[in-house]
Amino acid sequence: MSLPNPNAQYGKRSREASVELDPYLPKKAKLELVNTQEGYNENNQDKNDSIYIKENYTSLQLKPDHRSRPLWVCDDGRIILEAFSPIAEQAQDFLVAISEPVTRPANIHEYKLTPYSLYAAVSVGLETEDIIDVLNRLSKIPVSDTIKNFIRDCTLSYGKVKLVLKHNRYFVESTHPDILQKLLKDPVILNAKVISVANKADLMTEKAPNSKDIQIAGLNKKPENKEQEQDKTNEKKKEEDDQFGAVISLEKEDEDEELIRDEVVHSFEINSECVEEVKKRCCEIDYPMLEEYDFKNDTLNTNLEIDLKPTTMIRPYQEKCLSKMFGNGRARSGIIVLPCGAGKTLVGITAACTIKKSTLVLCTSAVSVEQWAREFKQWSNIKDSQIAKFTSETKEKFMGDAGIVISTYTMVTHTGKRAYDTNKMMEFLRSKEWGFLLLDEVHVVPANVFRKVLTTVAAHTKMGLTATLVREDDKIDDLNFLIGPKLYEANWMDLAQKGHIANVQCAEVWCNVTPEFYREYLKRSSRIRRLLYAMNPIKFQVCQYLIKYHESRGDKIIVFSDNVFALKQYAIKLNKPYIYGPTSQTERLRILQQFQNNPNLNTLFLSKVGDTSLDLPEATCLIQISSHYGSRRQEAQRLGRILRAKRRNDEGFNAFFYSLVSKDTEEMLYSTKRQQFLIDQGYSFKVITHLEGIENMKDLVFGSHDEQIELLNSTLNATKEDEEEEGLAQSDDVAVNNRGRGISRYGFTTRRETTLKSHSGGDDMAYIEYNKSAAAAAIQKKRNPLFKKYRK
Amino acid sequence: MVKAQKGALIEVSDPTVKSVLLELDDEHHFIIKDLDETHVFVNSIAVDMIRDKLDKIMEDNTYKILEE
Repeated sequence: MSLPNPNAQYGKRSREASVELDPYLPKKAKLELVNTQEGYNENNQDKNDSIYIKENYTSLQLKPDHRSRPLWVCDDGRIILEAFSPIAEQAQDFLVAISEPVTRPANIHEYKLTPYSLYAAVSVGLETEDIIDVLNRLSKIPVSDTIKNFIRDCTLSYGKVKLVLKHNRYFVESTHPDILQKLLKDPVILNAKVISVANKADLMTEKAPNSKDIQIAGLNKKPENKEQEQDKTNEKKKEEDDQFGAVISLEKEDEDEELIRDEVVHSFEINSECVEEVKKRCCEIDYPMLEEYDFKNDTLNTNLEIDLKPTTMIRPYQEKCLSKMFGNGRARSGIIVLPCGAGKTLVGITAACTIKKSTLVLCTSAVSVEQWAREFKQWSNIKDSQIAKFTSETKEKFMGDAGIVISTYTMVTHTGKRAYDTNKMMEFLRSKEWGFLLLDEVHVVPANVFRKVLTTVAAHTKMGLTATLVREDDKIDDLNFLIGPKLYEANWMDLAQKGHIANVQCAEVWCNVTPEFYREYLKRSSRIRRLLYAMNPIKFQVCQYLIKYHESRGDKIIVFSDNVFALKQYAIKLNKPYIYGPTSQTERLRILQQFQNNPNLNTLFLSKVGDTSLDLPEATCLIQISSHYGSRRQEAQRLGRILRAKRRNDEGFNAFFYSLVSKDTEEMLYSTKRQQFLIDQGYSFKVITHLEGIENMKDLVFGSHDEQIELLNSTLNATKEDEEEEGLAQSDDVAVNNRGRGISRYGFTTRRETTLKSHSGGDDMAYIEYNKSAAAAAIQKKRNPLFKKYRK
Repeated sequence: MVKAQKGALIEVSDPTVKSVLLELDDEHHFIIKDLDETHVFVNSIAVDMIRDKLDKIMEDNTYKILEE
């Protein structure tokens, strides 16, 4: 099977990389196969010929029947999939389970094996040798020893031990009794073990849980049909087997799994106080535990009366997510990645309906709190009295023992002083035992915030939802271990093809910069530069033209600007409503409602507060005039605003995404970088250098030279305060009364030495006068001639 | 007395490039006569320098995959 390996040094280096350790993470988490991402790009040819020597795979032998196999498994952990192969779909399911998707355009997909992804694979029940076996079956070339060792290294100790909460007692469970015995030799774990008199044997054994015990809400309508279907697929599978000679089917995987599940599991109980300690200890000795929650047998926490409405339909990919989560009849913690608008909310709600325990939902802003509450009422039969919102404005508690609380990250993690009722509410949250913790938009919150949330709230199952598991910093790596492994990641293009999300035409519009603006651009600091390329009059005109064009087609348009100064200028000049940080909650809701219902209002300007969790199914066109450097996440999130377009199922419907870029400025660079994520998902950006008919448009703004100069002057005078948004989306939910009101240990009075200026509140103010001579001239003109002689 | 100076005519494709030229001129003083929107008459000694600097400035704003 294995060939002499030309790249053996990769394997060696990969083991060296695992030296660095974090006490909270399993040892192997940082293990890395050497990453050589570049190299397959033709542009590199002149830069670095050595890549071709390093990446030369010609020595690997193809299997004789390689044509029917869809994969190339490279030594550096990259897996290339031929997406046009007849069994690509099955292979894709398998690859999504064991590796991270890197890029997924139309025909060739690239995946990468990482320790995290393998950890996720193990946690959904795949076994080490099965992974290697299936990989080998699908690969055109024999899987090398490097890869096999890597997989073994990463998976052997993972997922063997489970921490199960059932009957409100914690059990350490494993199918391998020898591992448990090994754990019991550890003093820390032995101390934590509950010594029961009745059961003298060290380990308890019982039948393993089976996936047949559980029914996911919404999927339980026709169980018989499902079995029939399974029979069918089995038959189909057999046919396929005959065809290929080798077994290349993936359903086998599931059967294997079930067989294993029928084996007995061994377990011992541990004290609930020592759970944290045991968890940490297990990581240290390299047996990280998976957490599972046996919610059906949880009798202490009251059940919540909640179910999906019979009319609610679950889409196939949502079903897939949920089956990963509830795979063995218990609830697993983990992260689910679905594109914006693909129904993340419904997945969350269905999961809540399946667990039927008290649920805490955390999202990013007060607006999305409202949306979650609404969706819960829309899709499930929950009573109004059992759903409570907790924001800086409303603080409710649910009636009875079980219910749903919806809140924001900032409300829960804020450490400063709070209002009295907020404190009360926090006590309430802390005192309860939550069956299910739902974390919306997990990518926006860095790991340390999660640590805090998890210490504040006691939850049995955690589920993270996101569309974009990318960040420009590396703060999301730990999420895999804080929340749980990534359970599912959907393919954007696939969903678009099936009509679950809208088809989007992406375009990058290049706007010339007027000579005056460019002159200034060259001279100024980077802050003014950003402002200048956002305020470029040509961009202004292009924006106006696009708005007019799409309004006449009947599109609803959202215009995004990160820069608040530009946002206001554009919106006021073009006479459209805008929403940004300081806009009050009621005002926001009013404008959004108008936008949805009023046929005369078709364009809305949004700052970055609108980036995430804003549900506007009417919007069909999106224009971006300024953005946050090269943030791939922001680009994808913004695109998400139009993916859920209501009209997406109309014949030949397309949504439009325009990114306006000032030519020959830094913006070009950022723009290309921002698009990377979407390009990896299979989107392509058209470049538009000239818009047809823009010269002939009537009343174009800033048409005259004088107006442009005026705009330039007002832009240069914009201060930093105008431009930056005070308090981003996340912080605008914190109660206002906690700012700078320190209470000293002597009581409410404090004594400090300051200047008179700061006592009168003048600390952060300065008097500035722009354009002095003009102002003086204006005053002089107004004066009565009588004062002539006082003039200097 | 007539003073002769050897010069070169530069034709630019769009106004941005001309702005860059003017900007460079502030430092190096090579422009003999600014003719119109798309034409500048410069000292011929400076031509190579101009070409170099111009390339560099334009290159700064291009995204290269390799740099990641």
